[in-house]
Amino acid sequence: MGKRLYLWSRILGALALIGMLIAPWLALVYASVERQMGLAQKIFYFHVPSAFAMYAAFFLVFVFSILYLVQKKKTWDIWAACAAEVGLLFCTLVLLTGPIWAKPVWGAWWVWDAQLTLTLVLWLIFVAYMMLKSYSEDPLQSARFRAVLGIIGFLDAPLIHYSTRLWRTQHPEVVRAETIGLPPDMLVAFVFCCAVFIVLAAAILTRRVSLEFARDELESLRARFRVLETQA
Amino acid sequence: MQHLGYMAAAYAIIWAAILIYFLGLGRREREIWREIHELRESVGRRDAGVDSGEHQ
Repeated sequence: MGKRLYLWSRILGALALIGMLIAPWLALVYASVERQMGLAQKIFYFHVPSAFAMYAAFFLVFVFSILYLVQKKKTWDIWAACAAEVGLLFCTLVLLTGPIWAKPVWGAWWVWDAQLTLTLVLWLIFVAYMMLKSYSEDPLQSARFRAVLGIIGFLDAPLIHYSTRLWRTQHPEVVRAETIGLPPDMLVAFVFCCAVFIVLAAAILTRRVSLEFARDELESLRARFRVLETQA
Repeated sequence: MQHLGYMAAAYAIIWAAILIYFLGLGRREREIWREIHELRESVGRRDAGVDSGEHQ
């Protein structure tokens, strides 16, 4: 499984690299410049897809955490922890690029708006998740706690997405079920960037999981070596 | 060219963050695989040593 996963990570990585070379051209050259926001609007082509990649990764954490709690298989814990790391990476990108867009458009780097605050809460939850993974002394207990935290943490994601409808927020609502509300050139660039970021997230996840499987192999080799040392 | 600096900063951060993450991942992979190869060789040698010891 490890070798096949490594191969998949390479294929997805190559696709993501090609996509990441085309995406800036589509976003910066092909898509027209929005009149009111000017070039700051172009941040949207990487900011929103980062948010979608984050949602996808945290959804996987939710699914793998449930599977771990039900089946108690270490593999599900590995997948959940790696998906959490990927989600945290994209959540960080969302939190970094959002204020850069907000400053010229709102006149402030940060406002304590529901969507922004909930995204920060989500980031903090998964920072706690990663700390629990790094510093816990009992791996089984840590995996159980992290699974629960991963499930609870994901419940924040739909709240973030629908916060623009549930509360009065400054953050614009990007995607509605009825209409996306973008001109065709912007829509093409946006959809392409979303697809690229999802492939990129999948590439990082598969590579990260194959690394964990390699780490597992290393641990079993160390154990075998210790046995041989004592026999000698 | 309204807000060019903001746009450039956002794109630079995204590219830099992804690049740094991949470089870090690559470094961790290289370290683990190097250790795996070393241990495989050591275990192979020990196994061969144990086998030849048994035959003697």
